[in-house]
Amino acid sequence: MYDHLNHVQQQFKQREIKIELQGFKSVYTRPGQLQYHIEAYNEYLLLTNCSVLPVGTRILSDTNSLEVKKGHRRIEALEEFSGLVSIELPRGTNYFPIIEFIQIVKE
Amino acid sequence: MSVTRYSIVSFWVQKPGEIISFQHKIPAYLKRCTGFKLSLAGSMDASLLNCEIGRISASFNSLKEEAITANLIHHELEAQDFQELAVHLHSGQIVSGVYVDSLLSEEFTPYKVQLYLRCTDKEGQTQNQKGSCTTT
Repeated sequence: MYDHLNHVQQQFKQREIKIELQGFKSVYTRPGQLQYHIEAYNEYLLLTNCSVLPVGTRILSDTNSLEVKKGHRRIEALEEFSGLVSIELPRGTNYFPIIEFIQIVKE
Repeated sequence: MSVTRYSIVSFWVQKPGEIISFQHKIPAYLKRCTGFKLSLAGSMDASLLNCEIGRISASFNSLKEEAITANLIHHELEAQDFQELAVHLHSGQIVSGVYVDSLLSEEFTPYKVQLYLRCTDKEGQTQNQKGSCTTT
């Protein structure tokens, strides 16, 4: 298993993006609400627990989009989102996870 | 004398709501991208005329510059001009992005999306020119 934080530091250095703040952001999902919106302008959110999200969950943002499939349970790669981030849980789900991101605020 | 080359990133959208990631390499001799155009290939239901079909975002220079965010709209005539882009290309780096279909119609038919990138081997006025974000 690779070190997520180390990977983030290395990759942002490669991309010449200077980091002002590195932290965590969590979205607490709950029954009765399937859509969530997070503002991540001038920052990046890296999804860390894709493997626990219900299959069919969609995360759409200005820079990247993802639909969780069965195969994602075995993937360790970090998906990165930025701008306005919309999270849509699949209809009919009875599982409401905490969605965790590494938050990177750039200079 | 400078040359202009057009790179085409194309992919098929096979189901409603599909999310397609792509990566593309622009030939290393090209120095700048000056425009882009997003177009639809294939037939589309007439009821979707002037409707948004999907949304694309793309970054240049191996994720260093977010330069394209655009909507794909179904037009009757394909007369859309290139939109301006000002990205200084680092040699051999990748263009990557994602397309999200936004059709919710039950009568979905697969279609092909083409992203044209207009690039030149002519250096810009400034070597470190940053990309400008263009939104339709």
